[in-house]
Amino acid sequence: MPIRVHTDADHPGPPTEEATRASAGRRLPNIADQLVDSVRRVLFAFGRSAPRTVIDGPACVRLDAAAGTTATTTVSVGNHQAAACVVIPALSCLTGAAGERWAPVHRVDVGQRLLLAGDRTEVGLAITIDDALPTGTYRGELVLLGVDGTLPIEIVVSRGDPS
Amino acid sequence: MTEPVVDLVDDPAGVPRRTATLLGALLSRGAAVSVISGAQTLASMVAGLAALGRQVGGTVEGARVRRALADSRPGHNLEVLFSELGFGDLVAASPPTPVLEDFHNDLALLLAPDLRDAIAAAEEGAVNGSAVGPMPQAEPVDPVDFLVGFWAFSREMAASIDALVDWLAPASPTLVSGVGSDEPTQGRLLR
Repeated sequence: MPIRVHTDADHPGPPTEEATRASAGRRLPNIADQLVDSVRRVLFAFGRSAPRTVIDGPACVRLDAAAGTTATTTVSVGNHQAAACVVIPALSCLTGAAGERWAPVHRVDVGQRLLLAGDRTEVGLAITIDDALPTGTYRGELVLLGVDGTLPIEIVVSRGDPS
Repeated sequence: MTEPVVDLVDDPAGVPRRTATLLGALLSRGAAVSVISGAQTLASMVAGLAALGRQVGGTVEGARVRRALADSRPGHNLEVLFSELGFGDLVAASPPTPVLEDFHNDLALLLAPDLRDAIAAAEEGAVNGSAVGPMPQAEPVDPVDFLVGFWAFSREMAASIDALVDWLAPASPTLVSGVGSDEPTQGRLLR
């Protein structure tokens, strides 16, 4: 038996899909605005920025390497804060003089990831220079996640000695 | 060639990382979470993970993860969820929680030798969240950055706890005697 749904002005039927979407679209921004206002008020009152760590290091680390070799360096990282900190190094993509972007095969080794106050560790960086990489200067940085600032790195790639 | 030397120091424009200020940051987080809704908390954390994802997305490894996610169905569907449900607008307008910094600060608090003194000072009112500093600014959020940040944060959190355990109990070859063990020896595998 077919089912009939009766509707009239006093008992409107279920809203159409379009009406539901339109209604939700009207409500969401209002709710979002109110929530954002609350967040701003409350968080401003309490101040949600964390005590931070910044890098104090050389302006740039320069590496010279021939194509087909591996450029290596070791960076000494020390904790000069009163509290422990964590060392999470990562190499950024490098950019050539003409704007070319190079994402090299590389390895980052951390001697000691957790540094107590006064501790120092070594971060080893080995970057493989592809044979086919055009010569020139590539700039990038060693990023320490969770720390403000980076250590700029400059790699000058030359053509390897054919002999 | 001389080994480059990098020092990790306190932010000269902010508060120093000492037990009292780390505790203050934790107290302010607890105080804020107790008076805002779950949605507000979640939006700020998602914004914080997205901020981390933007930073990590510039690294070689993070760029690879980001590229894979951005060109995938999960990445596209996440964008649809953010835009169609209005969640993206809420996240973009929410101050980002400094998730990794918070985690590192909490880890440092676990290692602090003077935690009890700092708590006693906090109970006397000498430590409070308002000493922590200004709020980070909200900014537009790319949903894929959130995924990349989530990936990085999860990985770093596990690695940091591994580092903590390694520091507390360095790995060494050990042999644990089974004599006198209370472990049951009956079963289908251990007879």
